[in-house]
Amino acid sequence: MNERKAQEILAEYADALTRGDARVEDLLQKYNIPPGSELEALLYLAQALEKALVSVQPNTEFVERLRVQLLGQEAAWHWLRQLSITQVAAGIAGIGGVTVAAGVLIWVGRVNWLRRAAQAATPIDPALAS
Amino acid sequence: MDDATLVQWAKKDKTAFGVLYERYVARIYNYIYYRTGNHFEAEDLTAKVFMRAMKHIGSYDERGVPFSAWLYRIAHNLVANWHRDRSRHKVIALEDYLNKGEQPDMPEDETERQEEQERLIEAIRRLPEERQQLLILKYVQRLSNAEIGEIMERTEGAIKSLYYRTLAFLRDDLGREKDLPGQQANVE
Repeated sequence: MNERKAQEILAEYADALTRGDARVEDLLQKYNIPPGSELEALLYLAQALEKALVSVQPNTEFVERLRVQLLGQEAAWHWLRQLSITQVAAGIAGIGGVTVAAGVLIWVGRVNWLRRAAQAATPIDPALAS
Repeated sequence: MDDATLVQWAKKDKTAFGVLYERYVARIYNYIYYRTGNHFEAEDLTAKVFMRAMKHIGSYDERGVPFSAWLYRIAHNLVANWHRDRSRHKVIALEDYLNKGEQPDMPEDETERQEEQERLIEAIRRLPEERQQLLILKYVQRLSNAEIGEIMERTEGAIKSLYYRTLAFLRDDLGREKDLPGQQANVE
């Protein structure tokens, strides 16, 4: 198989990867590519690249900070205004929920700490207390 | 709304630039992340790309270069400068991307898979600059050869050819690594 044809097959495989329906085996069969050939190795390498080079997401805090830096506070408020009432309500409810949960945890921690402190102050042998 | 309309609007109104920012920030970040290998540099350079784009958008003229290609070219130039200057930077490997060491009880085959991916990423980073760029645009950004051609200022046919040569080069490089004593570069 000449280099030009190999380029076409690799390009076809890359297009299929983009569509999400790529299968090396299908191409091996379709073009009758011999096992152990260079093209077979390149197709499997392309498959491995697809698995290794995954998209990463930037930190949302960074994205928001940069937006404010670029456009100023006003633009950030503009973005906030574009959110639906439901999204804003869900956000507020989320913040409220986290605050309440944190309060409960602090309160439970404090009660446990006081209980342990009281136990530590109690003599082991009650007879000694009298 | 398409990019060209937004760009015209963004020349007068920052809000439109915000829409373009929203559309491209993750893609530019990804591109830079894979070119530099760490999140800190990716954030820093992504910020510089958009700062520069906003500053120069008034003089940007489409004339055959789509806005996305223009942004990638800014990113490419900044990354190239960063690489030239990197002797002064402490380059962190792609460990955070691979979550190396975070899962001590990982099954053996999963560990092997991660090691293979790590070797592959390292081999990609040994490639010449334009070949790295091609693979990132193709696999991470999922761009077509025509779109990649616009960014890299080459024809679609030239991209196809470069892609073939890049894969062949990478395979040879991994093969050489495999031949080293105590090394295994088994890709699939």
